[in-house]
Amino acid sequence: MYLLFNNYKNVFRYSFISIFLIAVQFYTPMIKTSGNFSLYVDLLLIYLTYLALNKELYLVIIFSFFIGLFQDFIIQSDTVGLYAFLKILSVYFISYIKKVNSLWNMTFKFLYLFVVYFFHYYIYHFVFINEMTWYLTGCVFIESFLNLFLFFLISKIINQSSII
Amino acid sequence: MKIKKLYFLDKDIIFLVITLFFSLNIFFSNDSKYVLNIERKIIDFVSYIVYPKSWYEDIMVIKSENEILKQKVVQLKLLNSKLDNYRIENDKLKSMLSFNESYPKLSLKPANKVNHNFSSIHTIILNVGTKDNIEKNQAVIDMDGLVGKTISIGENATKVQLITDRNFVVSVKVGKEMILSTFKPTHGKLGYLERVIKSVELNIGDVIYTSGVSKIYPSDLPVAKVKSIKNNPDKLFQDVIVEILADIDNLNYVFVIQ
Repeated sequence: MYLLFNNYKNVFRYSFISIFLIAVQFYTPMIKTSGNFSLYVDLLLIYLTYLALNKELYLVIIFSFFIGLFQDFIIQSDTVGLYAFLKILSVYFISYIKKVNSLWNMTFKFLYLFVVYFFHYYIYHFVFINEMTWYLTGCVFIESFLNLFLFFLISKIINQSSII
Repeated sequence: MKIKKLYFLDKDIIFLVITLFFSLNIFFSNDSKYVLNIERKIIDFVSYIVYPKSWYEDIMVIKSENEILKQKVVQLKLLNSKLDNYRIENDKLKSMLSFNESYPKLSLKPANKVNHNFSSIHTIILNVGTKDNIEKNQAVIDMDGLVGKTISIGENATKVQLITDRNFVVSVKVGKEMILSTFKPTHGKLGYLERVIKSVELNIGDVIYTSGVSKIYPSDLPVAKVKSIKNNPDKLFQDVIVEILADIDNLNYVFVIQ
């Protein structure tokens, strides 16, 4: 009974953090660039990265599906399912770091994480923009770097993860 | 027991596949311009990927098809000469009766089937697209009859809704009186005709043609042939089962009517 309660407690805790992050996401500033392109920090992706590196993968996959879907409904109702799809894939690939934790050094882990972030944002923007130019690819590059940097900062502050 | 074991071994993958399936299903069920755009790009990509395979298959079948076509050409030449005489005779009779042409000549764009669409067995992908001036809602035929209509156009590829799709409906004319009816597919190559009144004289083997009522399908395209007719005294209309004429299972070359 205690274990069951403990499980529920975890579910409530993660759900509460997600709702809090979604609320914060609303007030997170965007950087508008020329060409109607906006760079933004995806707090939920950073949070899911943390979960993927520290919790059981199948639970994080289910969680990211619902979080992605929720984010889709809020941000872009024209493409419901897109964020869910991208979040699930990103979480799955990020969790690979756990498997190679002892083989890869920290730089390589961050490089891999950067590649996952880059593809996450690239596919997302590719859906909305017909032609991905070098300029827009550069913007996605900066956006991925920005998110990775924030993840790095948060992981240093929290310092709970044994992986990164 | 084995399934249970597998479940515990691959639960990450199982949940990944399930959630990916649902998310993609939700995404592609949208009708927004972004989703349609992505669908077009995927169609183009798939046609590009499977092009070598279809090209190889084409070469393999082209010899046997060529022989059959040669035979058909000879047969058609003979038939043509016969029909030519009929045409001259018909023109004379028409001019005598002052008839007008009932339909314009059709412009046909030949196309190859690249592959069956992965998402549905009732759609195919053709190797022509906007580059070839293909548009949405154009009729597609093969040598035997109506195959379907174009529903999604990419730059180099086109998705075609087959006549066997349950949602496919086409207005047809039946009997000597050319009574309007509607063709709807059921399963396999079979379909049925709706609202065929009992006074319409139909025989097994009669060919059903498009009525030309719809803007998509020109008139007089062969659609199906009558397979069975039932006259139930309790019903107002005849139960007419028809068989689709187009060789849906072995489609290689088709024509898009422009």
